[in-house]
Amino acid sequence: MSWIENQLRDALGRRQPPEGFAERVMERIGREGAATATRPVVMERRPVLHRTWFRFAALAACVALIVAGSLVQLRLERQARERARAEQAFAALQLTAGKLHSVRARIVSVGLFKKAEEE
Amino acid sequence: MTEWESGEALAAAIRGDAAGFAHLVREHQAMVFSIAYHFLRDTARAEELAQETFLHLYRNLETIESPAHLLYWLRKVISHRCIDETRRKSRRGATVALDAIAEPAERKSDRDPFLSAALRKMVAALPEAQRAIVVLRYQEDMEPGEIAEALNIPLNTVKSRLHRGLEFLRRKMERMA
Repeated sequence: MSWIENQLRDALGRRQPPEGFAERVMERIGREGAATATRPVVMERRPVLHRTWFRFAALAACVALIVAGSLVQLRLERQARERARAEQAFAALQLTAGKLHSVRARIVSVGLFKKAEEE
Repeated sequence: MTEWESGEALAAAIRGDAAGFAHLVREHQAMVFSIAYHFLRDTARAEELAQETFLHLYRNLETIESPAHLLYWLRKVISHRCIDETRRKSRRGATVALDAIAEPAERKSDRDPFLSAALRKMVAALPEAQRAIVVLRYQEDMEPGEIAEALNIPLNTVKSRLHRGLEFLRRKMERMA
């Protein structure tokens, strides 16, 4: 047994209640003993908000919500960036296609002109 | 005054004999009062709770099966009442500073009375669940299993709270030294 346990045994010894305790109990029983309504012995439960596990659970739920919210936000931002990049690429392709088309038209018209001259 | 053999007073009290019940009160008053006193550190409230416990016993005598059961029942009821009382008090916001707790006259002891007084104050500052376990363990010499049964909590909870309570007290004592 540890030192602190020995000290506790010594410090928490039994002590007698104030003089006349038993007489006062018997008097009270004489007055109230027959009453049927008794206070329930069941230990009162602490309100949920005061319980340690509830505080930890609430804290964990808040952290989980913040993390989940941040992940969703990051994902939405990435999707928006990808969409903008795709639109940019599409516009560039359209521009290139337009240029190629005009070049081809010119080549065709020059070819037709030379052919007419030779004839 | 009638002299009672063990168990006779209980049987007489169950039959409605007031002298038998008074004997039970005298036999167990120190135990019931001390649990309440070490828990609340308030003589008047401790007496009030002890009286209520005996009144409750009087109304439920027919449920008591033996002297051992009576001892178990009294320890259980007074512990629960003390915990309820402390929770009610803390919900009302009534807190007592450690230094404001009155220290009654010391018992004669060959140990250091200042150390014992300091320890009692520190025990009074423990959270109510730990305090009940420490009082039942070191005042009543109850085993952790018995405490678990009396307080309706798992054995491992009793062991961990007892360990944490002792650690807290040890650290406080070291700091004080």
